[in-house]
Amino acid sequence: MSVTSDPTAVQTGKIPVKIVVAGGFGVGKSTFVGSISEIEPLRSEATMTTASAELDDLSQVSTKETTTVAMDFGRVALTPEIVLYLFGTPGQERFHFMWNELSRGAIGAVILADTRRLGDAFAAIDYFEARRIPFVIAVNPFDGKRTHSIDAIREAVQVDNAVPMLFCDARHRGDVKNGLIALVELALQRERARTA
Amino acid sequence: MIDEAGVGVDESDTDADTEETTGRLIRPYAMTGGRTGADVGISLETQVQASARASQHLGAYRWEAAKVVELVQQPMALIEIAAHLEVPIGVARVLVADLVEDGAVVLHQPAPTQSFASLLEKVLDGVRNL
Repeated sequence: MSVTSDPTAVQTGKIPVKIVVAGGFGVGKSTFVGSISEIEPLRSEATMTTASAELDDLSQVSTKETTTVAMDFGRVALTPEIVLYLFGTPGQERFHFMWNELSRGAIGAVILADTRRLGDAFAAIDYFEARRIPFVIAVNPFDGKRTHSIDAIREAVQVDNAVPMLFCDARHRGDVKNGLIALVELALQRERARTA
Repeated sequence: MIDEAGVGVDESDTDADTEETTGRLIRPYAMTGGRTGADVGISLETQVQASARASQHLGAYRWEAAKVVELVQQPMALIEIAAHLEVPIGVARVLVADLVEDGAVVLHQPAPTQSFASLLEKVLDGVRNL
């Protein structure tokens, strides 16, 4: 490693890459992160104060609202030089301020969906679709029962055939790994097409 | 602002030294003079590491800055620092930015020697080998 003249920055072999794990509350994001992370997943919080859009009818005074979003993250070394960070973050629209930060420079997103509550995945699907960030949909089958076909689920959530969709039990490392592989393959395919 | 900060006063009031020694009662944004770090360009995964000069500063730092220096003897991502300190990410970001300014910590900048596609190829191999 060469030493640079800038004392605030050093060149390093460690390259951090990140993947966002999105989806509704209770869909298994933390479990997904924990299944593959080499550290016990850690929880971190970000806060943002926003002026409430609505005025109080009686006082005509706007109120401030502090939104706190907690996310779980894990880390796994992929090669001696590449470290993968996984961020599990809630999918509600009011947390979009966090998604903007998380998606900057991210490889893409794994959106977890639960067949009982597919609607909970819509906010995340809309977000990543609109920003052309690569994403895959990982369907967590309730109690391990695959009662719906992938095709039926695809029709229900109305996503393009180009979006990879797979069953993924977030408790199973192999399933989690397959979800990550599908995402990185998609991101690589898109990047090659973009730079071709 | 202060009233909304969410960290309460010491209700037990049994050990005055606790506040001095651990700083647990300091409101998160009091550590940063109210700054939230929105304009500081350190991302969640940026690797932070103590510099050789860190020890020169240690005596002058309050617990939270000293704790950061202690945590990053080995490189650690900003978000991990926030989690270990139990402070919001914005607070950790400002603490780190100040330490960078002091020369007590350095930010790792990956050498931009490869294309994103070749990085993704390595990531793909790495994930497959997990």
